[in-house]
Amino acid sequence: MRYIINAPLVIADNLDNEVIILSMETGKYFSAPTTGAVVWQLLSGGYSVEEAGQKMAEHFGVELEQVIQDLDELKAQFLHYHLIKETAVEITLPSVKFPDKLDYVKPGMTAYSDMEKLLLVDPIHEVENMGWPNIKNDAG
Amino acid sequence: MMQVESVEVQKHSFSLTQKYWKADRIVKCYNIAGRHIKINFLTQELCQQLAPALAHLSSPEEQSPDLTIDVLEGEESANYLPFPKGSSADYIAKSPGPWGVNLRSGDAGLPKMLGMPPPNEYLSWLDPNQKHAIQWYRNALEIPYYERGAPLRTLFDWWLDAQNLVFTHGAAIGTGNSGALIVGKGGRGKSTTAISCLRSERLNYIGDDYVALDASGPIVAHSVYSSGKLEADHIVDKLPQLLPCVDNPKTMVEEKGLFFFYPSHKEKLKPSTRLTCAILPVVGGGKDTTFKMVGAGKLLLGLASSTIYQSTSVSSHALGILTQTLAGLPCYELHVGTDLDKIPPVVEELIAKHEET
Repeated sequence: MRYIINAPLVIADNLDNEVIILSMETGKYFSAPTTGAVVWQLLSGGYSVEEAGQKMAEHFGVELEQVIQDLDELKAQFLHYHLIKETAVEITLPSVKFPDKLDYVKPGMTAYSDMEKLLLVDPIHEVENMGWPNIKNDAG
Repeated sequence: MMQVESVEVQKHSFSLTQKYWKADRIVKCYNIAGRHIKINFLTQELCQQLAPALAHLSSPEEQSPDLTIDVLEGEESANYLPFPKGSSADYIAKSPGPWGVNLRSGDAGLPKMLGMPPPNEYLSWLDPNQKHAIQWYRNALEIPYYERGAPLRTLFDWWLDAQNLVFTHGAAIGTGNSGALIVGKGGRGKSTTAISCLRSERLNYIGDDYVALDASGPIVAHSVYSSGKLEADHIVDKLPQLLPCVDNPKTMVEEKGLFFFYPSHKEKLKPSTRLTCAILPVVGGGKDTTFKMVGAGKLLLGLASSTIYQSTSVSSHALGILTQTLAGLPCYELHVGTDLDKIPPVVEELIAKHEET
C-alpha cells in the first residue's frame, strides 16, 4: 500500500531536520523531528512501509523488523490524523536524502491542538464559486 | 463556464457598489510594502475606527493605486454588495461560522469572499484582477477593538499573498539596516518584547501582531499597523508610562489595552526593516532577559501554526515562504525577564550580532 500527503487539507515543510505538518481540516498541527521527519518524507512521498523500512534499515544499520514495527506505529498516527491518504496511482518515488550525523531513534510525532480555535474557515464548509450562501454539494 | 459567469456577475456588482457612494466619502491613501493602496471610507465613523492603525503609512494619492478598497457599513449598503444574493447582511447574522468562496482553492486569480459572523460581522471581497476590494461592516460603531487594531486583515492577507508576500503573525523590531522577527503564539511575550523596545533609542518599531514578510530577495518585514496590544495589568504594573497611549482605557480590563503608536511614537515607527535574526520569546522567570541560539524548526512550529491558521490564503505557499525566511535567519530563544527595562538591550545585542554593514 502506498500513501501520499492528504493535500490540500494538509501542508508540511521540513526545516532543520524537523517536519512541521499542519492540518487545515482539524486545526491540529504536528512536529516530527529527526527520524520522524525521515519517515514523513518517505511515506508521504509514496514509499510503502516495506520500501521505507528497507531504506532506513540499510542507512541506519538497524534490524529491518524493528524499523518496520516503528514505521507501522507512526503510519497509524499519520492515518489517524488524516495526514496521509492511500493512493492507487502510479508514483515516481522521490529521491530521499538522509540528514547527516543522524542516529536511529524510534520515530515519533508530537500533536498540538492549541490553535484549533484559530482555524478561520473550515474548508469543508466552503461554498461554490457563485453559489454563496449555498454550501458545496459535496460538503455533507 | 463557472469562472466566466463569476467575472461577469462580479463586474456588474462592483459598478453597483459604486452607485452607492455618497459625495462625502473619505479617501485615504497608504503605502504598504512599497505598494499604493487607496481606501474609500463610506462614513466618517468608519474612517475614525479603522484609519488610526494605518495612519503611519499615509501617502499622497496615486492615480493608479495597486489596490483600491471600498469600506462600507450599514444595512442599506449591503444591498449594493457584489454578491449574487441580496440578503448578504441577513445571511451573515444567521450563519453559524465563517463562510467563504475560493479561499483555499489555490487559484490566486479568482475573486475571494469571506463572511464573518458576529461579533466581527464583516464581509470581505477581493478581486485581484481588478485590484479592487470591498469590506462591509454592519455598524462602524460596533467594530471590536481588535479589529480596529488590525483592520482589513482578511483583505491584506489575500492581497499580500497575491504579491508573493505573507501576512505574518509576528512582530518586527529593527535598527537602521537590520532587524529581528519576533514570533510566538499569543501570551508568550511577543508583544511585551516588541512594545518594550519602543523605549530603546536605537530600535525602531515595525509592528506587533502582524507584519508583511517578503522573502523574494533579502528577507524584509514590512509594517502594516501602528498598533499594539497588551493585557491591562501588564500595562499598569510594567509599562505605566504607556497608559496615556491606551486607546480603550475604559474597557481594557475585559479586552486588552490597545495602542496606536502614531503619532505618539512616530519617530520610532518605520515602514520596513531587513531581517537579520529571528526571536522566540519565552517567559524566563528571573529578573534578567537572556538568550540562546536554537534551531529554526522550534520557531517555525509557532510561526507557521499561528500564521497559517489565521490566514485564508493558499497555505502551502505561505508555509514555504515562512520556512524560507527562518531557514535564512539565525534563530534565538529569548528568555524574557520580569524587568522589562532589560529586554531592549538584549534585543539590541542580538540584532547587533548580525548587523548588516
